[in-house]
Amino acid sequence: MAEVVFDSVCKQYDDVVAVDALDLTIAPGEMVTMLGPSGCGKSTVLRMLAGLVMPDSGRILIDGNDVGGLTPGERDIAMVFQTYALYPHMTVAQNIAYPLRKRGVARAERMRRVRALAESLQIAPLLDRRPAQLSGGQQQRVALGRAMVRDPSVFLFDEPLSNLDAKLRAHMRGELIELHRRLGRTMIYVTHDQLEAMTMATRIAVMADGALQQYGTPADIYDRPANRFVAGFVGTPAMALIDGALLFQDNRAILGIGGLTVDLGIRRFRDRPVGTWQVTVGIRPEDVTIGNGPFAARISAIEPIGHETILTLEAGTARLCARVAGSSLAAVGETVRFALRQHRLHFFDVVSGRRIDEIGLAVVDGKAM
Amino acid sequence: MSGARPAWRAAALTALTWVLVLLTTFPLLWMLLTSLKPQTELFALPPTFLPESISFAPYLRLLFDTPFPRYFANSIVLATATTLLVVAIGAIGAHSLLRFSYRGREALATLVLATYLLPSVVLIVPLYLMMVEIGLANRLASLIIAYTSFALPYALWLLRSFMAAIPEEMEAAARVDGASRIGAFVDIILPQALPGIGATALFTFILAWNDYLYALVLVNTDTARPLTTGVVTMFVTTFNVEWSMLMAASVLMSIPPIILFTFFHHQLSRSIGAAGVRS
Ligand SMILES: Nc1ncnc2c1ncn2[C@@H]1O[C@H](COP(=O)(O)OP(=O)(O)OP(=O)(O)O)[C@@H](O)[C@H]1O
Ligand SMILES: [Mg+2]
Repeated sequence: MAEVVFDSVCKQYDDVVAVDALDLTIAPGEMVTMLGPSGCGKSTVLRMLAGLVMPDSGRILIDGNDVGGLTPGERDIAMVFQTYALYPHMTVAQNIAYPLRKRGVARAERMRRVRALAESLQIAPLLDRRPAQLSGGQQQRVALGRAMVRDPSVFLFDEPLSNLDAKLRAHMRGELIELHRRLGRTMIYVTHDQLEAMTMATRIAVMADGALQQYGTPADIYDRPANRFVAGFVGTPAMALIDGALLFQDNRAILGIGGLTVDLGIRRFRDRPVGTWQVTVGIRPEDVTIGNGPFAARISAIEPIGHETILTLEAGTARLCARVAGSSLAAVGETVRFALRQHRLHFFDVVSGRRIDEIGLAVVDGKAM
Repeated sequence: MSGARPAWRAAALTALTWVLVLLTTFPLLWMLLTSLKPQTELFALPPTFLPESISFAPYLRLLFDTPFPRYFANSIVLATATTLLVVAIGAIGAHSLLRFSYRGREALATLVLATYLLPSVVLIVPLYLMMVEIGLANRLASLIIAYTSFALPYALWLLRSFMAAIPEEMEAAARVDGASRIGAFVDIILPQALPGIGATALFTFILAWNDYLYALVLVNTDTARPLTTGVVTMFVTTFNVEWSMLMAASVLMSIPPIILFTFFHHQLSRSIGAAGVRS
């Protein structure tokens, strides 16, 4: 078990800022997923922790020790790559034994440990094959075996499942969760698949443009996105983000978005502001209820998924999605009435994009949020 | 026109191939046959194809009464040393040009190739003067340096294109697994670059083995003379060419490249394919 700390770590490639002043503390034994769009610097973070890439500035600590001066091999970490990076000229057994060989473990002991591990990963019959003779799923297991064989204190995974088909992926996801539970090691897992991020993580670090956007539990990230980026990035279909105005009057808050007027009457804000505030309102599809309600909208698209149906609604200039259970009898072009679960609305500052209840407009009424 | 080729086309292609094979092998065969004929038969009219009597005299004379063995040894040392040097520097250099980031890396890679643009005749006089200056003229070392500088650009580019096909993640994985940079290079990169290394070695060896021009200019003593210039010095004079001796020497000279070729021709054809596809 090891604690991992990034202390204002920066990395720049030519004119691209890959990682921008990253501050992140990962508690021992966590399974952290790093989630973010392609090119946001996720791999760079892992590679800096692994010692493959040197940060331009800042410190990286493992269990309180600055690892800046250590080679990758000295850091007691293991890494699984997207391409698996198995050594093609070595057999499966030699691949798994390689980290032990490099640490001077005696041959007999090496063989014993490789064998035991192969049993537990169910790849014992493959030990004499070469990587090219394995299926994608088998290669994945071998890569996992090579990472596990020397029992490192931190595991790093760089999109290890993205080359597998959907079914195998779901299966391996389960196995990795089980592996984390069993080994209790600190694990950092890079992905741009939110399903993976949400289901596997004890905590999620959301990144964009080299900067950490939010670090929190999956529930935190989903229920209280720290800014507009996180709000829009996490969740499918995405949260609708609509610019509008919040008018404070007589202790009431009235929200105007795209021609809709929502009376948030019971909502009270701590500093009782007055006047009108420009905000971005976030509405998740499950917080729109169809059937009756104060608002009307035209259905512009219907996407049946099986167990539920996603409706795209147009209300004035606002577009938002609604999630209804089962299949829907509605037709495109039809007008429906809907309501919003007002206490589940999210507010963001139009300029900075930050969540509003975190910068002074926090809700004080116990009922809200 | 789809499906199987018409039979006549296949036959024509086969015939054409055989004509080409015969055209290239005939001089070699003629060389072998000539070396076995006694002097009297060489200029017989009409010429004989197969020798009427076989004589190994030229070979015996060559091996026991001439400096041929010394030249042969010189050539072996030269070609082997050059090959080892080029492969070692080439492999490490190619890896550096590919994986390390430093200022002017791409410029360096291009510049290396630019030396290839100059014909060797242009380089040879300055090279000779330099060798005299540092006291290496008339030594084997001067030729080793000359051949190395000549073969290295090609070796760097060939090896670089081979190594570019090895995923960077593999090397990263080895380092995380506990290998040093050198360790990862030796354990992971080298074994996979082996076909490229074989091709480079073959190319370099043959370049060093066959060179005439540098040897002629840079070396003028028997102790350091390689086969190419040595044989010509021995058997070709203004007035006379000792054909059977020359042919016998040529036959013996062909043996090392032929042996190497049979060992490495797999790698060579793969690398020619590779050089064509990549880059
Ligand atoms: N070796 C490098 N040289 C130059 N630029 C690089 C290098 N490695 C990464 N970058 C740049 O740094 C940024 C972050 O790259 P990184 O690989 O960390 O992204 P990522 O989040 O892992 O993306 P992906 O999801 O596509 O793997 C990108 O803009 C990328 O182009
Ligand atoms: Mg990546």
